[in-house]
Amino acid sequence: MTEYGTARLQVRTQFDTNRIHVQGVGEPTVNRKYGIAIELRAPPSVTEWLSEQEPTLPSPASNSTLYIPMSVVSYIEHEGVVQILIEGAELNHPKGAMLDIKDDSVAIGTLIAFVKESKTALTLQDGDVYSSEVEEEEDSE
Amino acid sequence: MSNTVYDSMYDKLNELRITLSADAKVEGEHTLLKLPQLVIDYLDTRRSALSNAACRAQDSAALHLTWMQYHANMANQSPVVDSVAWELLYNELSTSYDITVSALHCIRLGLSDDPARPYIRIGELKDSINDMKTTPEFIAYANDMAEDLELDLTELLPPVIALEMDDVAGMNELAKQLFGSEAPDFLEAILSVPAGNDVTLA
Repeated sequence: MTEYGTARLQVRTQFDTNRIHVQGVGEPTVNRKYGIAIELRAPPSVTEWLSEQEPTLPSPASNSTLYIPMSVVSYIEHEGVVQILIEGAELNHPKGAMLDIKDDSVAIGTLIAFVKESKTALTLQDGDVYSSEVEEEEDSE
Repeated sequence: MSNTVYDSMYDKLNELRITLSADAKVEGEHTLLKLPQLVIDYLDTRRSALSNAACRAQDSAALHLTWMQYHANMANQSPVVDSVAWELLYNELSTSYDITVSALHCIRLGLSDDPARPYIRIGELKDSINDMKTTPEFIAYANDMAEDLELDLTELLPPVIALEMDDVAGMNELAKQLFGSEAPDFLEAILSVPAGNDVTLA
C-alpha cells in the first residue's frame, strides 16, 4: 500500500484513438510522484474497446475514476516473453484484451522495468504464450 | 542533375489524379470530387457553431459587446475549414482509394466552406522543388514510395525542412541545461524513435 492506494497498474479507458495511457502506482517513482505514467501506441481496435469499458479505478493524480486494471504476464517457460492483459469485457481473451508487446519500444521497456522492480501487477504464467489466432488444423487423409 | 526520381513520382501521382478525377464531375475549369460524408458532417458542425455565435452576437450587440468580441475571436481563430478537416479528408480519401496520405498531400486540393459546394477541387500537382530544394510534400512521398517506385533517394535535392547541425548542437545544449550531463543526444534520440504500435492484440 502506498499513499496513493494499493500498488497497481492501470489504463485509462478514454484517451486517444491511437494511444493508451498507463499509470503505475508504486515504487520506484519514475516520472510521477505515485510511480509512473506512460503512453503506448496501440491499434484503434484496442482503444475503441477500451473506450467502451466501465472505469473502476481512480487516478492517483486527480482521484477521478477513469481507469481499469492492467497487468504484465510473464511466461515461466518462455524466458523474456511478456504480454499485457487489460481486464474488461472479452475482446481476444476471456478476461479482456491480451496484448503482444514490441520488444524494441523504449516506452514498453520502461514500463516492464517498473513492473519488475516494483513487483506490481506482475503475473507469472506457465504454459504457452497466449494467442487468440486459431491454429489451422492439418488435414489428415 | 538527373531528375528521374522526380519524373517517377510525377508519373505515379498523375495516375492517382486520373483515378480521383474518374469519380469527379467537371464544372467549367474545375474537377470536383464529392466530399466524404464524415468531412461534410464535421464542416456542418463547425459552420453551425459559428452561425450560433454570430446570431448571439447580433442579438446582443445593441446592449453589450461581449458576444461581438467572442464571435470575432471565434471567427478569427476557428475557420470552417481547418487543419482537422484536411486531416479527416486525407484519411477518408486514403482509405477509399487505397492511396497514401503523402500522395494526396502532393496534389493541389481545394475545399470550400460553402455548404452548397460539398466538393474537393482536384488541382494540379504541387511543386516538387523550391529554390533547389525538395519540398516537404515530395520528401514524404519519396520516402513512402522509395521501395514501390524503386526510387534512389540519394538523387533527391536536399529537403526544404531539415535539421542543421547547429540546430542539433543547440538542442543538445538546451537538454543539458534542463537534464544535466546525462541528457540524451538529440539526434540519437529522434533516430531511435521506433515506428508503429507498442502493443497489438495477441
